[in-house]
Amino acid sequence: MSEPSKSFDVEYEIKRRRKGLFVIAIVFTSMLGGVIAATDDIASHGVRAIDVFRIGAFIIIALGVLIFVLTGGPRAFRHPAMNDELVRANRAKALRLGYVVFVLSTMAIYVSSLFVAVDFSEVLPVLITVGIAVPTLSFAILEQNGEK
Amino acid sequence: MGDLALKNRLKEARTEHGLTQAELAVRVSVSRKTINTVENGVFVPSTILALKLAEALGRKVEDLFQLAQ
Repeated sequence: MSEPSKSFDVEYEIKRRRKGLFVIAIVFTSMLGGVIAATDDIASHGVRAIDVFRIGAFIIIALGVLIFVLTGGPRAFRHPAMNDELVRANRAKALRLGYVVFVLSTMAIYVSSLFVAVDFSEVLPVLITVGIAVPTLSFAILEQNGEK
Repeated sequence: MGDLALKNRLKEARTEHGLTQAELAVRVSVSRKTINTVENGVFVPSTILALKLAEALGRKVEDLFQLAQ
């Protein structure tokens, strides 16, 4: 961990990161419809550059959000308070919740597939979104607690 | 929950020292929110943070944190 910089406003950066997590979770979830549409388009029209771009962007952004949640973002390395033990505890809780919701969602889809036709190429983006958005949103909410 | 079984006198010790939450947070390299959640009993600090807080406030750890009977 690098030496704390006096000009680096930790409290401001923590609030900024928390707000960013909310925005990221909402924006990422809003991408789901487009990805499912792109998956459908590939099935009906064959592989087109635009669909590959949409799906590729979704995967890259998913990885980016995951890394952001796991590390706390690039600014987290500038001051130990940005990644202190409360932040680490909140992150662990958020990831635990994300894991449980992801497993339950997978089980629900599996059980549904026994009774109705499920297109797994459409379901997988939903699972990715659940696995990424739930811990991101949960982390943001936990970070909001104790703010006052 | 084990978290509920810890009482602390952090706020009293801090105010006796004339420190704000933000000032104490800077001394122990955590965020103000972490100090706030510890004072309110929402978050149980690690042994390392408890020792740092005790050192920053010139107290023994057991003066700041006690198990609730």
